[in-house]
Formats: sequence, C-alpha cells, structure tokens
Amino acid sequence: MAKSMPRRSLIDGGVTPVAMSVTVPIRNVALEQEVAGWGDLANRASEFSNMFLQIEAKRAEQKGLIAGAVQAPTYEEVELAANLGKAVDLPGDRESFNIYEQKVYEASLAVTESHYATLATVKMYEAFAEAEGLGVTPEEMKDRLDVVVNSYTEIFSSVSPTSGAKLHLNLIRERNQKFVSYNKSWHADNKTKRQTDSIVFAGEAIENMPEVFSGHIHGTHISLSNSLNFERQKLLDKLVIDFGSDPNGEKIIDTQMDAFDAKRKEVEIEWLAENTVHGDFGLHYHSYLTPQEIAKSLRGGTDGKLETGDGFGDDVWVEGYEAPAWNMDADNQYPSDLANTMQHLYNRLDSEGRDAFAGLVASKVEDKRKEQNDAAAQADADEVALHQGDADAIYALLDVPRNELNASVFEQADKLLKESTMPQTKGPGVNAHLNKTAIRDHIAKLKKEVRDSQTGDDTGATAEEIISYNTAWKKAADPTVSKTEFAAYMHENRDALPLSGNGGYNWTDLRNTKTVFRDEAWLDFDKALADGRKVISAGLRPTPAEKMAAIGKQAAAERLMLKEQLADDLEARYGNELRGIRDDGGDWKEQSDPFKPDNLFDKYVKLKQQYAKPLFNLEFDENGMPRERLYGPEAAAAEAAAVKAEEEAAAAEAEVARQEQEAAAEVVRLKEEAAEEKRQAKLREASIDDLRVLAETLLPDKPDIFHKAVLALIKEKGIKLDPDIVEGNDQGALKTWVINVLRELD
Amino acid sequence: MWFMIAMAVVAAVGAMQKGQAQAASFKAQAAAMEVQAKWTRFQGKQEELKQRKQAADELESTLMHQARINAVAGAGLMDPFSGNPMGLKIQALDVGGTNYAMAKTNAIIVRKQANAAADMQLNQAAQARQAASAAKIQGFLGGASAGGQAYMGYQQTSTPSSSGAVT
Repeated sequence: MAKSMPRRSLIDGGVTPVAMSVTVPIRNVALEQEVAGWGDLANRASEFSNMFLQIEAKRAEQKGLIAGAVQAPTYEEVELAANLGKAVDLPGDRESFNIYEQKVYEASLAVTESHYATLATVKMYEAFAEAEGLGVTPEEMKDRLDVVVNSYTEIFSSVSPTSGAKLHLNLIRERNQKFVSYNKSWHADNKTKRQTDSIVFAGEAIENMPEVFSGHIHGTHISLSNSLNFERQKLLDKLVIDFGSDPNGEKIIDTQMDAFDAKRKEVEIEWLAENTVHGDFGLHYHSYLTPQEIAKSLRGGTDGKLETGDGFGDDVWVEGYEAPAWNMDADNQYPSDLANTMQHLYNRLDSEGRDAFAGLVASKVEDKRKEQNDAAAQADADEVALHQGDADAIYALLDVPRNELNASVFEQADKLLKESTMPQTKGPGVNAHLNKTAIRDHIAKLKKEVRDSQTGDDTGATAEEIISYNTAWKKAADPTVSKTEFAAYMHENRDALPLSGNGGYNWTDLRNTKTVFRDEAWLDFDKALADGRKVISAGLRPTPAEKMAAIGKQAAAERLMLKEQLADDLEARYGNELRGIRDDGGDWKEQSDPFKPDNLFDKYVKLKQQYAKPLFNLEFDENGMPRERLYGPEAAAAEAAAVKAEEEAAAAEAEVARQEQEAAAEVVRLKEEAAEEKRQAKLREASIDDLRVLAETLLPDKPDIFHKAVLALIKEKGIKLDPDIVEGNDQGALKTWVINVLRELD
Repeated sequence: MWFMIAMAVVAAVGAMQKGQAQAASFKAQAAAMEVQAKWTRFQGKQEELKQRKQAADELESTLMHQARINAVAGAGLMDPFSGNPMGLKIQALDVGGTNYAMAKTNAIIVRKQANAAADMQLNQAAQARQAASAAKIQGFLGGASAGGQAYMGYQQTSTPSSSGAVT
C-alpha cells in the first residue's frame, strides 16, 4: 500500500510573539522614611505652633475686649454725641488683621451699643413718663417712642449699621413692651376717666338745666321739650357707652337718669311758675287776686270755669282753637311758641307736679307782691324823707320864740314851702302832715299869733307853749308813735299845754291830730286784715259758678251757705283778735304775717282745716290753700264726685218727696174711687130697680121705647157707660148691657 | 508667643528637610529608572536574539520537511490521491516562511518594545529628577511658609505693651 507523504502543518508547532514585562524598582525606603520623618516633625511643630497661636489669639482677644471696654466712649460722651446728633469714634479697628484691634473695636462697640441702648431706654422712659403724664393716646405714645427709637438707631447706625440694626431691634422690642403695657393701662384708665367724665357730664347737664330753659330761644325749629329730650338722649347715650358693660352700669345709669328727670321736672315747674308770674305769659296775675285765686285761675280761668283762652286748662293743639288776644303772635294768628311750650309742659305735669306748680306760683306771687310793696314803701319813704327835710327846714325856721317871728321869717318859710315838692294836700299814701296845706295852715296860725300879739289880741299861748306844741305835734304826726305812746307822752308833759283852748295850742288838738295820722297808719292794718281774711276764707266762699250750679238744689245751696257762714265766722274772729292785738299795742304786723312763727294767721288756717274737713270734706294746706278743689285732676275729680253725690242726694230726696206726693195723691184717688164706687153701686142699685120697672112695663111690648127709657135712665142716674152707649149710638152694646143687667136681676 | 515661634521654626526646618529628603528620594528613583532602562534594553536584546534563533530554527525545520518530502517521493510511495511532492514542498515552504517571518517580526517587536520601555523608564527618571527639584523647592517654600505663618500669627496675636502701642 502506498504510504502518504509527510505534510508540514502549523498545528504541528509554531512561533508565537513574546510578552515581556519590566518592573522598575523606584521606591527608596530610607529616603521615604526620611521624608516621612521630616514631614511628621514639621507637622507636629506646625500643630504646636497653631496651638500656641490659638492660645495667643485667645489671650489677644481677652486683652482686646478688656482694652476695648476700657477705652470705649463713656455714657456721658455717648449722650452728648447723641444730643448733638453726631456719631462717636470707637477705638480699635474693625477691619484690622490684628485680633486685639478687632476685639478692642468689638468690645467698645458693644459698650457703646449698651450705652446707646441705655440712653435710648432712658429717653424712652422719659418720653413714656411725659406722655403718660399727658395721658396721650396709645398711638401718640407709639409715635413718641418711635421718635426716640429712630433717632438713636439712626445715630448708632452711622457707627455700626449691623449693631444699629441690632439696637433697633432691641429698642423696638422695648418699645413694644411699653406700648402694650401703656395701651392696656391707658384703656383701663381711659375707661375710668370716661366714666368719671360721664358722671361729671351728667352732673353738669343736671346743674346747667336751668340755663337750657333760660337760654332757649322760642320760635325756633327746635322746641324746648325737644332740646331737653335731646340733652337727655345725649346723656343716656354717653352713660350707656361708658357704663353699659359694667356690672353696676345699669344701676348707675338709672340713678343718673332719675336725677336728670327729677331735676327736669323741678326746673320745668320753676320755669312755668316764673313765666306765669313774671313772664309775658303771666296774664293770670292781677293785683286784686289772691295767690289762691291766681292758682285757681290757672286751672279753670278767673271765673272758675274752663273756657277757651283761660290758659293752662285749654288744649291749644285742638282744631279750631282760637288763641286769646294776649297769646297771639303779632305776625300771624297762631299761639306763640312760649305759650305753647308752657301749655305743653303743664300738660305733662302729673297731679303732684301741678300741686307743686300751684304752690310755687302762689309763693312767687306773694314774693312779687312783697317786692312791689317794698318798692312802693321805699319810694314812699324816700319821698317822705324828702318832704320831711323840707318840713324840718320850715319848722326849724319857725321854731323860735314868738318875738323873733317876723315878716322876713315868714317870707322865707313861704319861699321854702313854695319850692318844696311835697303835695298840696293829703292824699292816698301821703303822710298827712307832709303836705303844703298842713304846713301852710301852721304858718298861718303863727302869722295870726304874731299879728294878734302885735294888735294886742291874746293868743292864749306862750312861746314855750308853742315850742312844746310844735314838739308834741311832730310826735302826733309820727305814724310810728302809737296812740298809747302818745298818751304816755301827754301824761308826762301834761303841764306844758292846756287840754283845750289856748288858741288851738292844747292837748285835745294834738290828740285829734294823732288820731287822724294814726288812722292813716291803720290803712296798712286794714289791708293786712283784708289779705288775711281772704286767705282764711279761701276755698269757702262760693264761686259764681258754684252758686249757679246750686240754684234749685237745696242740698248744694245749704252746703254753700254753711261754707260761707264758716268763712264769715273765721274772718270775723280773725279780725276781732287782730284788732285787739293792735289796740293793745301789740305787733299786729308780726301776727298777720304768714311767714312769722306762731302768727295769728296760721292759727285761723288751722281752725279752717279743723272745721272744713268734717263739715265739707274739704282739705287745706298749711298756707290755707284748698287742696281738694284746685289741685290735681284727682282732687278735682273728688270734688266733682262730692258735688255729684250732693246732687244725687238732693235728687233722691226730691224723688222721695215726689213719691210721697204721689202716694198721697194715690190715697186720695183711691178714696175718691171708693166713694165713686159706692156711689155707682147705689146708683146701679137704684137704676136696676127702675130698670126692672121699665122692663116689666115696656120691654115685652115696646122694646124701642124700653131702650130709650133705659138710656134716659142711664143719663138721669149718671151711670158711667161708654159714651156711645149713653148717647144711643151703639144700640147693640146697650142691648147687651141691658141683657146683662136683666140677667143679674134674675 | 515664643513657643509658637520656636515651633514654627521647627516646622519650617522640618519642611525644608522634608523637601530635601524628597528631592533625594526622587533622584534615587531617577537613577534606578535609568538603570532599569539599560537593563530593559539588554533584556530586549536577549529576547531579540531568542526570536532570531527561533527564526533560524524554523528555516531549518522547513528544510527538513522538504527533505522528507523528497525522500518519500523518491521511494515511490506516493499517494496519487493525496498530492504531489511539489505541492507538498510549496506547502512546506509556505508554512515555514510564515513561521520564519513571524519569528523575525517577533525579534523586531521585542527589541522595539524593550527600547520603548527603556525610553519610558528614562523618561520617568527624568520626571523623578524634576520632582526632586520641585520637592527641594517645595521644602524651602514650606519652611518659608511656616516662618511666614509664624510671623503672621505673631502679628495677628500681638498685643500692645503697657505703653499702649500695638507691636
């Protein structure tokens, strides 16, 4: 067999590329160790150095802080700079590399900041205290504190903006604390203050209420009542605002408002009374009316009746009201605002208020009258003093020994008398001795005496007697010297003058003079007596209206008569007792003055109260004013009820009388009827007999004649039958009657 | 204060000495690298020679193959179905040529690689020398720095004397 040829194959073996790596030993352990050793040494030394550096830095910091604190500006320097608005220079250097310098600056800055903060706080306290003292609002307080905060922050910011911001933050925090505290206390204080103000306001409103009345201008758009209502609402609103949230607020508000209302009522009554008596509306005041009559007229007019125009009794608001002439506005025909206001206020018064009003009016009228009397008395006194001076000058001229009286003296006396303003003659209110006629008579008497002495006629009076006469004449003419006193004077000087004769220079003449002059003084007594009697009898004298109302009413008339009798009796007893006091030389003025204690007037007022109550159920107050009739709607109603009861009693009495009369008439009538019945019975009996005769004789045969005969019989006997039967107009009825009668016969 | 300065001086000296030592170390490294580079070239040469010997061996092997083909063919033992002797020779030459060329190339590669490695090592040696120089300078700078730092610390922490002046 063939053998295969050897073949060359890569599989049988080949050459492959080599891979060779070369390692280069580059480390040198010794040197590396040396490097590490030196490095470690350097590091450790460096660490030591750094450690010591830190220690030194700390030390420098401490030194710097201490030095900075020491070298920092003082408080005074900071304050001065702040006041001047300048920044302070700080030691150290904020930007320095040196720690010490940095810390010096830092410390001084901290100290300065502290100073600024302290200073600002102090200023803030000062501003706070000042503002607190002024009681400013919290907002204003905040503004004031902000001024301090901003000013100091601004100044300090120029030193260090960062610290300035920090200071600002602290100051703002301080300011906020103060503001919050002040705000709280302010509101608390303000509430107390407002409450106090409200009480003061209420007091002023109450105190000044009379000025609201006196200052009110009538005729404006706002009425007085509206003004008062406005004041009241204003006060109420203020009190509610300031006390509304308080636990006791309601009580306080009520107290104040009650005081306001009470004062309003009081002032209203005072104002009404004042205008009634003294104002233009005071037409009810007349000099001839007593206070009681004035008060009465306020309620019902001067005649006691309520009529249009009488005043407060009228309602001026009603349609068709015609204001009286005195209450007319000049420009239009409407009631004046003043009158309307008074009317309105009066209508608002209750019974108690009207009582007080009437009493006040009476008091004011009395005061006014007294003022007028005093003024008149003062005028009289002035006039008397003037005339007395003139008279004294003339008397001094003539009051010389008779041989010194001559034509020149008389001429001077005449001249003085002529120049004097004293009245010619005695007149009302003029002293009798202070008139020209009286003095002229005196001069004439002296002239005659001188003339008689010159002609040889004996005047019967010596010069001493004339002087004594003149002296005594002055006493006699003096109204303040009573008759008793003058009588005593006469007794003491009885030898100075004769009782009569002596040419008129005698005691009798002087006594007569005293009587005349004393009578003049008695006019005052009579007036006082009349006034007192009016008051004492007030409420007892019937008014014309009462008299009219009592006409035809016996009970009412008797009541009026009894009241009048009581008035007469009290007046008479008062007059007698007062005259007795006067005649006995007592102080009748004191006794007749209602304002003096234990006076006679009060005594009789009490008597009136004592009697009037049980007799007439009338009550009078301590001034003698009738309560029942004049004051208040209740009293008026009670009075009306009393009168009505009287009228009803009278009516009942009349009714009883009428019934009695009717009963008596009935008795008479019954008696008459009984007699008539008896007579009729007799007639009927007689008639029946006659009828029987007629019936027996005529009826059977002549019935027509029978009927005629019956009719004639009826007429003759006067039997009462129906007129138609009697007259024969009703034959049927006649027949029936006859049949009935005949049946009775059967 | 003086402790801080003294330590700073020590640190400065240490830093300088450290720089010196590092410089010496780098120099030593450079020298070693240079030696390594020489050795690398030498090793490369050896490897080249090995590759060249392998090339020669390959040529010899190729010749042996051709001879064996000739011998086989000469004996008549040729297989008609498996090739002819010439073809087989060509094939043997082809394989042998390839191996030879590969071995030659390997020799070149080895040599060049060794040279490159040596150059690289030389380069590293030069770098080490530069590093040594730098380390020396750094040592000086570190020492100076430590001194400066000490001076600065002194200045920073100095406080005024009792007279108040800041020293």
